[in-house]
Amino acid sequence: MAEILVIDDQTRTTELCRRVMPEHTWHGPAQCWEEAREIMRSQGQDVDLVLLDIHFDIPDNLLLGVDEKSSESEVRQARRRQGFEILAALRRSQPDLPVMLMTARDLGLEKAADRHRAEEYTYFLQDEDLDAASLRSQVEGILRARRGTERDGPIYWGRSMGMRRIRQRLITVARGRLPVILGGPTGTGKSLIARHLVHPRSRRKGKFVAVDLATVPPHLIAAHLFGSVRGAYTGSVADRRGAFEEANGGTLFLDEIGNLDESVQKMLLTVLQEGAVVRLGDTKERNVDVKLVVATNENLEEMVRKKRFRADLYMRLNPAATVVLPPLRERRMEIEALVRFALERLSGEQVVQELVNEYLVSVGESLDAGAGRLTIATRKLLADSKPGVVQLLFPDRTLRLLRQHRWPGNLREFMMTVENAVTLTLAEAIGAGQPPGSQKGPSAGRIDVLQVRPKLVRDLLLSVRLEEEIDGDAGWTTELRVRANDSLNKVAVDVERQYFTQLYVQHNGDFEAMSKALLGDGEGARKVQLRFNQLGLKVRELKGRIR
Amino acid sequence: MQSFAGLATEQWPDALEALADIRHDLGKYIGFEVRFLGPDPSVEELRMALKSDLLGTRKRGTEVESAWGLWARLRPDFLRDEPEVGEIDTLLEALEKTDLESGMEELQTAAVLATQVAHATRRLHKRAVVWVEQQSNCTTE
Repeated sequence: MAEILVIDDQTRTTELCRRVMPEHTWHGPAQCWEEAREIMRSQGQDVDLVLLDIHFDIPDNLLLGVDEKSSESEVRQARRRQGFEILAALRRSQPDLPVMLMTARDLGLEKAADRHRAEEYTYFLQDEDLDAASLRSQVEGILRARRGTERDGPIYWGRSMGMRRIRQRLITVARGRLPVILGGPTGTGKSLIARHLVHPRSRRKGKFVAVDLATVPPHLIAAHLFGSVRGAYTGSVADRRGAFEEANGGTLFLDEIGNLDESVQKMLLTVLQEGAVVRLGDTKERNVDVKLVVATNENLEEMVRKKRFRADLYMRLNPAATVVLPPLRERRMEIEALVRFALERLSGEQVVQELVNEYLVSVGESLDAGAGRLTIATRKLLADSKPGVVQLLFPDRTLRLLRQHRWPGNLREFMMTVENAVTLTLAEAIGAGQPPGSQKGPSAGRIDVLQVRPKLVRDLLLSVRLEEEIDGDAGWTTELRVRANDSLNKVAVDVERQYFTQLYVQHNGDFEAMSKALLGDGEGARKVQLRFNQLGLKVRELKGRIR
Repeated sequence: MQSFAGLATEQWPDALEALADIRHDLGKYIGFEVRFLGPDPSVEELRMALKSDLLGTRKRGTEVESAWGLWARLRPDFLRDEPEVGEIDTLLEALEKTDLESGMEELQTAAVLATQVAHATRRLHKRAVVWVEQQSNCTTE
């Protein structure tokens, strides 16, 4: 299901599109650029496709490209070509948003059209003979192409230029013999990328083999990587192929490459130089042809400077092909899209499917037509309820909490949080035999709608061990120590104290902002401050922590 | 002479704009919903589509204009000797008289007439573009 915005001074196109393709959400029509901008802002820029008319018969003051000095002829021309003006304005903020321009051929607009014809995400829709089948075919084709670059299996790239560039770079370095270094903090999907993007794009026929060097005992790493012969070390009872031989002809992914000690680094360097391995305890060379992908959340260059990593090995790993993945907190604008992505993946999981079925049965729905289905709605619901379909609604407050979280565990933490939120929401609903909590607004009374409550998500985002990632020049760590004879009340108060402290720092001491985050309402600042005092927290002591 | 040949050079840009407007506002939308019907629409589906196309050809918010209302506003009197203008007059007159509550046969006829209006607006605009290009080339030579 896609979010499609129609920018057209007529309402008929939007009405028709809704009828012909009801599976998508159609926004608009926006009758001018200002309206379009407002809709996109309210959608959090989460629009998949724009249908844009060319000709706009709207008041002069709403036209782009004219002012009070414009002649009547200029205004008329601006109306005829307004779509191109809107496209230019749109491209300034959304260079890679697919736009379908609805225009007939030979309307005398060829020069204006030619300027945009070479753009990667601009499509021309010949609308004079358009029918339902061709509109659907073109829309679906564009959405398919977009999805093709938005995700690779379990990897969500999204729509930002930065992530698209990273993906493109990975596709480039995947080909060829040279190694690839994947950098970035933990949980950003480095192993997924190696498996689901680099290996398939390398077009190598051999296997994908992954080794997490952080989990292999240091004294066994060499044997694990290069193999061994019987008796090579205590406990070695048979000849054994190492990871390099297993991955011969394919891809070998070494995670946490910074964990290698000096001796194994040297052995690895030799393998890379010779293209052959010698098993431990053996003399025979075995040729290996492996696409090597290494990952680290440390700075290898820094490690070389500190002599913890060999400079010659670092150079052999082809640092020019390093790709660094950003932490999730730098992708806040995509949180909503990431939630959808996570839900799409979760809805196919058996445990979630079973919970959905159980919930439907608990509220008296039959499953005669087959298994229940989970769909996601963010901000607003699908219009009608459908039998066997449960809508999981992520309201604004819940999304805001997800956006504001720092995600020290990045995507891995995110996916786990969403999964927990989904399963707990479903479990609560099953237990209650109805949607949990009081549901207000459009979902009131709808048993097919389950809201993912902000409080549930807030609790999930607070772990018992509250530890904030040190992120460079101004970080601090909090820690909760729990002793055996501590009362539950004491622990709870400690947790709350830590939480309020974090909130205070995160919002730069602004109690109104804290109130909005906690209560969804800035008017409760006094209540928040009162609780702050009750917990024994002192503003003057915490002011120093604000960056 | 109310035809292309009767236009002064300085009138060409406005004339082309006017014909492009007709092609877009009337030509594109007069057969809009009928085109989106499936291969075998029911009489009710065809009726609803035709009503929308003919009685609400142009819809902008609460403003609604019928096909003949649009034509009355946009009709290029300065080109009334061009054959398409007369053709569109005749077609729309017939369409305005069509009883949209009739049966399938009458509705199908109306759908065909609406398509002919669309084609006529396109032909008129295209011929004007070609004529202006030719005249411009003659002038340059």
